[in-house]
Formats: sequence, structure tokens, C-alpha cells
Amino acid sequence: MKKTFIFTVILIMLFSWSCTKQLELEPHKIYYDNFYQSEQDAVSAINATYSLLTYVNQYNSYLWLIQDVGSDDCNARESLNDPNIHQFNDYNLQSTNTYLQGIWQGSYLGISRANIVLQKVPDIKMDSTKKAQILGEARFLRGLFYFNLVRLFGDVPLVLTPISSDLTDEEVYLKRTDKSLVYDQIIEDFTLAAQGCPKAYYQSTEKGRATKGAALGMLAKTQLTLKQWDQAASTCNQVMDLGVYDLWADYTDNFKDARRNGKESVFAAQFYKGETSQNNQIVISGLPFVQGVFNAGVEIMLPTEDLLNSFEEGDYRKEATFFDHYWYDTFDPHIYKHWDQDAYDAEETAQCGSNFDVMRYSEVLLMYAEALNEASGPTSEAYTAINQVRARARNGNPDVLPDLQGLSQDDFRTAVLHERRMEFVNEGIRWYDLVRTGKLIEYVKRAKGDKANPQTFNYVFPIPQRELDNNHNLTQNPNYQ
Amino acid sequence: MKKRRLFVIMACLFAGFQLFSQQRTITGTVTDNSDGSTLPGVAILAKGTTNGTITDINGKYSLSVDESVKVLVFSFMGMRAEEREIGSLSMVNVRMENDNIGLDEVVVIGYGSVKRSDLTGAVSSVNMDDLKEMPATSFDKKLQGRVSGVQVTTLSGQPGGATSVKIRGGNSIMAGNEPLYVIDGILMESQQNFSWIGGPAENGLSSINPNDIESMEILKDASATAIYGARGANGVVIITTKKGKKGKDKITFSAYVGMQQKASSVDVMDATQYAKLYDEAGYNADPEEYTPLYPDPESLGEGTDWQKEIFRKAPIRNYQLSFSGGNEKTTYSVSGDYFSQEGIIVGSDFTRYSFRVSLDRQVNAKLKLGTSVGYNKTISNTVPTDTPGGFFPGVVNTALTFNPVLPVYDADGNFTLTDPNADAWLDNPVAVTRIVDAVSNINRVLGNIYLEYEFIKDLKFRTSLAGDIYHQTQDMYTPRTVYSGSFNGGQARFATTDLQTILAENTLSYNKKFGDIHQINAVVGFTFQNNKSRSFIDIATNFPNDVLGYYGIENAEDFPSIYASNAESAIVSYLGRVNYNLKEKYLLTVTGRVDGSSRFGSNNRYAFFPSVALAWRLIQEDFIKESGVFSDLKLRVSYGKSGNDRISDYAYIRTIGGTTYFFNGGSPASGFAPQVPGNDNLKWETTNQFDVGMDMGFLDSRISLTTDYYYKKTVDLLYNSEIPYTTGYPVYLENIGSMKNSGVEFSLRTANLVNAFKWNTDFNISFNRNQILDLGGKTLYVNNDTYKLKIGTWSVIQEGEQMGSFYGLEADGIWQLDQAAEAAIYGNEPGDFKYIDQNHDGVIDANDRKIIGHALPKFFWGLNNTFSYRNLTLDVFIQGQHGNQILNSNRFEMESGNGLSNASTDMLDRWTPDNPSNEYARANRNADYLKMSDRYLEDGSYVRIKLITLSYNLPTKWMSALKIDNARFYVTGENLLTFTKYTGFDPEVSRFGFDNTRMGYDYGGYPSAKSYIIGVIMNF
Repeated sequence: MKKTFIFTVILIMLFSWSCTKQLELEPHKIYYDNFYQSEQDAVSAINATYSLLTYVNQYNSYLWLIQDVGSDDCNARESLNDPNIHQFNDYNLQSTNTYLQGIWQGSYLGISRANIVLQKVPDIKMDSTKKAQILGEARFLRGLFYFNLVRLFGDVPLVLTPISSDLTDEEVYLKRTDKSLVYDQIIEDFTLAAQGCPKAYYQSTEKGRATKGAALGMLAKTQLTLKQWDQAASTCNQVMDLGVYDLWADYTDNFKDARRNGKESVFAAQFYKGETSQNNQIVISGLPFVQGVFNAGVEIMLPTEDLLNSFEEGDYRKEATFFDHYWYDTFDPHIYKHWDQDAYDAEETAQCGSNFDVMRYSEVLLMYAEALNEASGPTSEAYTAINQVRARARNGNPDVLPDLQGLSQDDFRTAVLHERRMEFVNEGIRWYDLVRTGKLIEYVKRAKGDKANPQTFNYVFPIPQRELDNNHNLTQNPNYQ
Repeated sequence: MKKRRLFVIMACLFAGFQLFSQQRTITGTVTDNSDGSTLPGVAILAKGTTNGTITDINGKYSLSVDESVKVLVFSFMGMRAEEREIGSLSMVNVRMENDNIGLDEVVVIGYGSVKRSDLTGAVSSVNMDDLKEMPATSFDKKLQGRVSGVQVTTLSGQPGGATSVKIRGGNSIMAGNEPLYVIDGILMESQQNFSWIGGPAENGLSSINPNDIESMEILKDASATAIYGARGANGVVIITTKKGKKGKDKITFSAYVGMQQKASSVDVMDATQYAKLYDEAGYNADPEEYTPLYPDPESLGEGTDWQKEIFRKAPIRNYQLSFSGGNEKTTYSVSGDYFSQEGIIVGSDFTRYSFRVSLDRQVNAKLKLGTSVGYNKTISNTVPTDTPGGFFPGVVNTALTFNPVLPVYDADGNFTLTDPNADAWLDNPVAVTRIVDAVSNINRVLGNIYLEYEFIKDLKFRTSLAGDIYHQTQDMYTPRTVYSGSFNGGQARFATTDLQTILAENTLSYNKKFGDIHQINAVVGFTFQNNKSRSFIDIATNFPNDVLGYYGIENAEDFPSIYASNAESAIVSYLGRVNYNLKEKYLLTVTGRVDGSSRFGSNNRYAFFPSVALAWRLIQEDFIKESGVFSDLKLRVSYGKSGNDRISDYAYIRTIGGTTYFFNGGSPASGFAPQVPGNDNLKWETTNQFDVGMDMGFLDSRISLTTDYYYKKTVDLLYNSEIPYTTGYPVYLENIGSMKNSGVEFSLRTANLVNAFKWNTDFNISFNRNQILDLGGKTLYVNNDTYKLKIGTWSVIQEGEQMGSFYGLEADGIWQLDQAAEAAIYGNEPGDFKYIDQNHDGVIDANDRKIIGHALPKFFWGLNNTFSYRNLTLDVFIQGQHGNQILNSNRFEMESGNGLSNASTDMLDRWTPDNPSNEYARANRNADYLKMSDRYLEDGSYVRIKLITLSYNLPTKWMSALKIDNARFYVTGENLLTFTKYTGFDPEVSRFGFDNTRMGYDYGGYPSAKSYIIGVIMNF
């Protein structure tokens, strides 16, 4: 009996010993500590950073939507059941605003992924040109995310490395960094990006990655925002000298899938047709809801009278931007310029895969004109640049949109701002332009009357309440609660 | 119970052997009152003599008694003793009652069992036989109100929908608060199966047939739960399924059919009223430019009653046939069951087919082995509820808010898609219930085999292997004729989930009595468990047509999302327990378990969970016995630890997930990035529990009272803390704090009348207080940014407060005309919502929020009264809970006044200059209504007449004629009446299911039905 007993005990012990090994169950996936070993891993890491661009809280919707509704271009549809978007219309902005929180979240997620690339990729053994390119792309994307953040929120925490595995208080409770230092970093990122990224990509599956021109274009825009006029003009000049960009003869070619990443596109967020999570909401956000025709039309933003009336007589861009009827249905003017009717039937508009251009070459020309004018008055190069954009907008009709000439510096300044507005409706730049030029209060009141009441403190938006709730070192912008 | 069976066998051997024979003979039959079956082996004694007999195998007896004998005493183990005056009768039939508090009853406690009188821990038992007239899709629903300290809440009225069970309050913020279920030795976490097809979460336990269950034991204190180590902290429910009994073969047939309907309505505006509101709102927002949409509202009449269109009367039915029996060496049981319930919302139902076999064999004196295997298949059609719109338009919400002016069908006979003049993202609820096809199928096999070998007397080795194989598919097709399918050319979803659990256990137990003084009952063991899970979800859009539904998936053009997951975990455990009994008076239990779990980093792989308990059976002390007050008295004290390891596999690792980006509109470029920050120091939560309890019996146990006080402190709480987005992650999983639960429980059982007319009462009541002690100084804000109802933070978790604290503004009525100037400071006009400016800074904002209510009840209770007279029994069961609040978030939209969705009829009393309402705001298209405030909090207390059952046992004399042993007919009404101030459909509601951080939220939940059934149970 004793023998059996001992035998059993030994059996149990043996069994248990062999089982402890079962505890070390490795994940069925790759994980952070064993990844980032090969060139392919490096490419995956940068691709994951790009993927943020098509998030709904980035260029899929929020980043341009608040520019439209927050500026003199558009009103949010009154019956839209979403107080958060109406806050931009009325300038009654709350720290709990979900659009601002989304943009903040998406931007910092993108920054953290760029930071991973910048920390991990230098140690990967791989082709050095490819490595430089990937690091350049990461610099470009980080610069882009910070450029958006600093313009929307002012001083923001500047994070340049990924968090450690034990997550220290220093990594969590960040203070806001003075915006001049944030801008210094953005300029450094775009400058280094311009060195690492190639002029162009020749493989079609690579088109859409950051290029030298994209980095320089964004650098010029940063300099323009900082009113560094000489540097901005010279950077624009570098873009023009690259010899890869030109205007499409037809303005609407910019919004055709067949022309995506074409000669006028400096940098674009890349969307895909038919893929729900990668669909661009820009078309349905502007389209009316018409049962049986535009079932997906949400008509979030509707153009203001002020915008509709601002177009010069015969400006081709007006008919390319708005429509007020479709077959037998008529309605108030709605924005439809991003709807490529060659590629999408009315019922397919919800699956829009058209790119969103973050910067087009016409903007480089207009930035060049603006920078020259600000630096030394309307020079002939400045006139050439702005008139090149106007000429295309005639769409072959010689009787409209005459070339500009003989303007004072101030009139030229007004003319450039006007030209930018006509050229870039619904392209996510208007609110920035109004803030940059100090025209926000005047122009918004002009377009919206008493409904909107922007004030000086609205030149930056409130820091999201969620961030304040979770980070005691963060402070709110003045006059926001 | 086992002892009782043994006794039956022995008794049978003596049956028919008469002891004495005198002047007259009394005969009769003894039956079990609960099911009418005859009872063999009941002892019958002529009171005041030693003259007695025992019933035979058919429950019949014959006893000759002296003329002087007036009373016969009937006694049977586990049953309450009965006395009958015989007068001049020659036939005395007796029905005996179960005596659940029987001290000799055996209680299963995990890796063993003890006599109830020897228990040192807080353990409650539920005999499923007592609850068999209650219709239920799963056994957990039957626990509601029956056991002290156990709070059961129906989370959704969808047939097969989830139920929450909490034992002594919730210990954990996010690691789950549901108990561990041990079904015939298989340890399983309660599941709440996520619905990929828009329905409410399904109850994983509904794939187990409640009719197969014999009994449930609920382990509450640390003395009882520590043997389950890292999984025991939330309490344990041990489930024993039915097994064959020695004796003659028995066939049981039971069946019921019934009808269900919705128990309450919510009043909303008709078409005329709504049209007026719509235009008034438009006008108030922009008096100069607004053109009315409905110039002649009266002409619209009542319009469509959307609630009427989606609710229906629905049948419920259940049939079960079982065979059982056995001899000295072998026992068996085989059963088959069919259950079918249609939901009270069109398009929802639940059907279950179950089969079960169990077999036990005593091979020789030393060796015993056996098996039991059950197969269940469930099919459940679901409708989306608890969701706000979009791809899963919740039909209860849309039935309340959809425009009543619109008809169900448009002029062409197609379903109206949506309301273009309102919030265009609402779907026609009738279209969704009727033509969206969503079905879930589950196939589940649960089984085990065991072998027991007695090495030497009192030393037993047991080894067992158990498995749980679970396969679920969820399919859905949304055709283009409903709005949510109209802009992507039809949408299909396919989801499959496979779960597999294997558990091996080896235990060695020793049970020995040394004279009359010492008794030891000890067990040691080693167990190993492995869990695997796999799931795959595919979404397809753009179908050429709607003809094939989801079967046409290969014709779809696009596959926008595909997910797959695969995970595995393992636990190894060493356990031991010693029960020491000194002189039947002093009892000591020492328990310990070491658990190693793969879910945690190697820094924290193993933990030890000990407990100790003492009990003193005061009734054995002479001074108590002699006082004559008590028929039983026991004092129990216990202290120990148990754990909670419910966290997803691999949670401690910084895992990498895939992303996709399409360069140049072309083929997908895959990307990889970390998804969670990871944390190497993650470990389980530990609950330290102190319990002191007293078991008392009075008047020969006609009154018995159990009362317990407990104090639980849970430390190392697991929580996904919100961290700033600047880290690149939204949340960080860590062990951050501690929480306490303390409370008292009472359980009272009385036999009020015991003669021919019997009246028994069971009452239990439980009070629990929850408090968060430490969160590392953090405050956790609970957000709820849904698709549509973006109310932001609405609940808060902070130190010193309880879980489920609602957080928001304090409403202060409506701004009135004479307050226009003050209102203007806040940017409001008369007729707008008014809130208290807590910090008096002239703005209503986030800084004016405070804790405004609580989702946890102060106490809950259950009261059952059983009346029986001859063959008739009436059960009346009432339960309730008090002191909790519910966030009725349907009212955000229904009382917004913006006219963009239908409103509650309360809004007929809305503010106008002529009707200065202080409750309902004015109509205003631009109303700023999405502010969380206490105006939407309502008292969730309720008292519910949960169950009334009237049953009738066919008289014994008819049975033999019908060739049946017994038959019982009954009628039952469930959820007959609810007394509550809550204005939503049902105070038992929780949009976020088990989620302990988001309790008490109602947003279009599936309401519970009221039902009436008739049934029969027959034994052959």
C-alpha cells in the first residue's frame, strides 16, 4: 500500500513539473520587443504611420470639416443633430468637443508611430537609401501632425520618443511646450525630410509617399505661417525648381481618381474605393440627402451666401465646386467638387476612394506670390505666380478672370487671400488662412452675422477636456473652460 | 442528498417487514410534495410507541396499531417530519415537504463535500426542483431573489440575452464581477458573448439546459472560495447535474407552453403632435426664415405607432423527456429537451435542443468510474437593441424616436427608408425587424470522465478529465431596402467563434473518524487547465442583389473588414484543504491554493491564496441545549484570500496589430504598430475577505435564520487607466488600487402552518456597501461617445466613492421669462434648460459637474410564500431592489425639443411663454441638449411580482389507473406586475451588460416580457 501511495505522489509531481512549461505561452502574434528587425518591418512601421492620415479624425473628415464650418465658407446644416459641429459654427467652443478631441488623439497617435520609426529604424540593418527615405518620411509625417496641432491648439506637448515599457510619470504628465519650440521642431523635421525623401516615386504602388517636394512645400507653409517671408519664398522656389509639378489644364482634374497623385498633387492622403474604413467622407458630407438618389448624402456643411457670392463672374471653379440640381431633383447649392462622377455613381458616393490633397501645386504658386508680396511688394514673379492660377480658372474663356496687375501691396495681399479661398473651397485651409492673416473675426461675422461670435481667444481652440482630466500638468488656453 | 439515497436503499431492503400486529391496520401512500413522486423508505412511527414501519418501493405502507394510538409520525431524511391524527381512518396518505435546511444534507464545496452541519463557510444551496415551474432560458435567471447576497439582473429581454450575477457586490473595476461557475467539475467563466450582428450580448450559460441541473451551491466567503484560488474572488456557483438514482427505471415527461407580451409602454407623440413640435422648433430657432414643413398638422392624424409595429405577443414552449434509474453497481440518466421562445419584438427568438447522458459504475469495491456528456444546440435570431443607429440601428430606440408622420411603407410599397427632414441616420424600425436577417448558432459539448480508486480505507484517489467545446456562428445580412444597407449595396457579416477548454484534475482525499472525538476530512490535488479561443469575422458589402442574403457572400464586391484572433491560456494549480472536527462541536477548515497563470508576466506568475475558518456548534453545548430556545445554533468566522485573473490573454504584452493603407488607390500596403502599451508587472486582483456568520434554528427548525456580516477588501485592482493621448495610447492596463465591499445578509425560512394546510415562507435580504478606497489619486472618467448620442463623460470612478457614480450637471428646471437677463449670461433664452452653476463663474461647463447619483442598489430582497392544501400548491414569489438610479438616456432625444426625433408625450407640456413649464424645455431646433445632468436620472427601485405558480398533483388513486406514478399540472405567471417609478420600459436594464464601470444605462434596451404558461410534469 505504501508503495502505491508513493508512486502516486511521484506521478502527480512529474505531471505537474511538465505542465509548468505550458505557462509560457508565447503570443500568436509578433509583438513590440521582437519586431523591427528587417527592412520589411521598417516599411510596415512607416506604413502604419501613414494609415493615420485616412482616419475619420484626420483627413477623412475632421481636419477639413472644422475648417469649413469654423470659417466664413460654410454653415453646419441646422437640422444636423450634432451640437459638437455647431460649436464651430457659433463659436461656442467647449473643451469637451469631440472633433477637437479626435484630432488631438489621431495626431498624437500618428506622432507616436513616427517616433517609433525614428527610434527603431536606425538600428535595422538595411539598404541605406531606403533607410534614409523611411526616416525622412517619418520626419515628414511627424512634422505634419505637429503643424496641424500647433496651429489648432497653440502650445502643445512635444513628444519625440516612444514611451518606455514601465511608463514613467515624466512620460505621462507632460507640460505644454512653447509653440516657438514646436515650430523649430517642425522646421527641422520638414528640412530633414526634404533631405531623405526622393523627388518622386516611379513605382505606382509607392506613389503617395512623402517626397522632397512635399517636405519643402510643407516647410514653405510653415515659414509662411511664421511670417518668415524670405525663407518661404525661397523654399517655394525650390519646389518650383524641382521640375516635377505643374497645374492641370482643367481644374476638375484635381478631383479625378484617374489623375490621383498627378502632376499637381504635392501631398495627398490616400483613400481607396470600396473599403469602408478607408472611404473618404468628403463627398457625402457635402451632398444633399435625396431619397433614392443620394441616400448617403449627409449635407453636414452648406456653403454660405458670402462664399457663393465671392466668386468672380465666370469663374469656372464655382460650377466645379457647387451644384444645385441633379437630373430632376433641385436643391440649394451644395458642395460637390470632390465627387468624381466618372468613377462613382450617385449610389456609390459613400464608398468614395478619392484622394484628399493636403497640398496642391497651385498652393505653392499662391504661397510664393504671397511671400514675395509680403517681403517686397507685388513683384513680377508674384504676379506671374498668381496669374498662372487665375488663368487655369478661366477654363479657356478669355473674357473672364483678367490677369491681375498694378495692385498695391495691400490689395495684392487681399487678392491672394481671395484667390486661395476660390481655389481651395473644402480643402481644409480656410480657417488657418483667416487666423494666419488676422481676418477671422471680421470675415466670419461678415459671412454669418450675429449667429457666430468669434473672439480673439478663438485664434486657438480649447485643449480637449479628456487630456486635462488625465494630465494635471496640462493647462487650458485662455478664456476656455 | 447522497446520504438520503443510501438510506432509501437500505430502507427498501426492510420494506414490507412488519414489526407488530394489533387491533387495526392503517394503510396509505407517501409522496414527495414537490413532484408528486412516491417515496420509498419513509419511516412511520405510532407516536408514543416503538411501533413503526417503512414505506415500500412504491411508497406504500401498512401499519397495525393499538387502539390507543392517535397520531402517526412520518419521517424521512431531507424532508420535514409530518404528524397525522388518525382518528378512525384506515387510510392515511401523506405528502412530505423538502427540508432544505436539513442539517444532515450534504453540501458540495468543491473537490469534496461536507454535511451542512459541518460547514465552516458561507455556502447557500438551491434545489432546482423547487424552481422547475419557472420558465427560463438559463439557470442563472432562476437564482434571482432566491439567495441572500446574490444579485441577479436581467440585462436584456432578448430571448437568450445576458444576465448578470454578482455575489456580495462587485470587487473589480474591469476584470469582471461574475462568479466562477463549476459545472460538474468544469471551471468556466461566465460568458457574455459579444454580438457581432448588432443584437444584445448573448448569455453563454443559455447553451446549458437548466432542466438538467439538480442543484446549485453558492460559495460566498473566503473559506469556501479560496479552494478556487485565482478565480474564486467573485464567488463560486457549483452546479451538479442530474444523475441516475438506484431503484426502478423512471421516465419523466415535462412540458409547458405559454404566451408572452410586453409589460409596459412608453408614451410618445402621435403624428399631429410631432408635426407641431417639429415646426415650432424650426420657427423658434429662426423665426424670420423658417418655412413650416407640416402646414396642416391636424390632417396627419395619429400617424404610425412604431411601438405597436415592432412589438407582438409571442409563444414560449418547452418539452423534456428523461429516463433514469440504476442498480447496486450502475446508475444512468438520459434526457432530451426542446425549448423555444419567440421574442416580444418581431424578428427575435431562441431555440435550444439538448441531450444529456450520464453513467456511473462501481466496478469493484475499490474502483468506480463514470462519465457525463451533454450536447446543446441553440439558434437565436436577434434584432439590434441598445445601439443608437448606424449599421446597427437599435429598434427599441428608433421605435420611440422615429417620425410618426411617416408610414411604414412608402407609396410604392417599399419600406420607408429614413426621415430626410430629421436626423437622417435613423432607420425605419419595422424594416429592420422584418428584413434584416441576423442569426446566432451555438453548438456546445460539455463532458467529463472520472475514475476513483480507494487505495486503503479512507484514502481515495480521483482523476478526471473534462472538456468544453463551444462553436458559435453569427450571420447577418442587411439588405439595401433598409437605410443602413442602402448606401453600401447590402451588407453581410459572418462571425465564427471557437472555444475549447480542457481540464485535468487529480486529487487525493482522506476521510477518517478517530473515535468520537476527532474527525479529519482532507484533500490535496493538482489541476491543469488549458483554454483556446479562435474567432474570425468577415464583413462584405456591395452585393449584386438581396436575393441570397448572406449565403451570397461570394458575390459581394467588397470585403471592407476581416478580423481574426487566436489566443491561448493555461493555469496550473496545487490545492489542499483540511477540515478538522473536534467532538462535533468545534470545526476548523484550512484551505490553500497556488495558481500559476499564463495571463500575467513572468514577474508575477504564481500566487498563493490561503484561508482559515472556525465554527462553533453551540447547539452541542449543554447550556444552549438546556435553554430550549434553539434547535440549532452555530457561529462561524472565516478569513482568507482569493483572486481574480479575468483579463484578456497576452494583456501584459505590447502587442502589434495590423493596419492598412492604400498607396495610389492600389493594393493594400500593410503596416504594423503597437496596439496597447503593455505592462510587465501585471498581476491578479486579490480579495481579502472576513466573514462572521450565525446559523440559528428555533421551534424544532420550523424557523431557521442565517445571517452573515462580511468585509471584503480587494487590492491590486486591474484597470485600463485613461492616459493622455500624447503617450500614443488611450489607456494603460495596470494594478492601481483597492476597493471594499461590506454588508449583511439575512436568510429566513419559516414553516408558518404545518398541518393539512401548509404555509412556508422564505425571505432573504442583502445590504452591500461598495467604496473605492484607493485609485492612486486618479479619477477615471467614463465616456460614452457613441455613434449619435455624444454625451461625453457621464460616470466617474474616484476614491471615496462607490462604483457606478453618475457624474454631470445638476439641473435646475427651465429658464423662465423673468430670468431672461440671467439666462443671457449663460447664453440661454427663457425656455432653455437651466443648470446650477456650481462654481458661480457665469458659465455652465465641465467644472460644474459633480456626482449626481448611484447605480448600485442599497439593498435587494426576495420573498417566496408557498401555500399548499391537499393536492394544490400556490407559490407567490416577489423580489425587489431599492436605492439605485438609472440613466434613462432615451430621454435626451425624447425631451430635447429639437423636433428632429419623436418626443415623449411629456413634451406636450413643453415650455412656451404661455405655459411656463419648469420641467420641459421649449421647442428649439438648436437646443443644446446633450448635457449629462440629473434630469435624466430616475429612481430604479422596484418591487416585482416575479412569479405566481398554482400547481395541482393528480390524486394517487387516479395514477395507477392511468399507469403513471404521478402527474403535476401547473399554471405560472411571470413578471406579472412591477411597481416602480422608472419611466422607461423596464428597470432591469443595462446597455453595457456586465461592465461594472458603466452600470445603470438605458438606451433602447430590449424590455423583459410578462408571460403566462401552463405545464405538466409526469413520471412513469
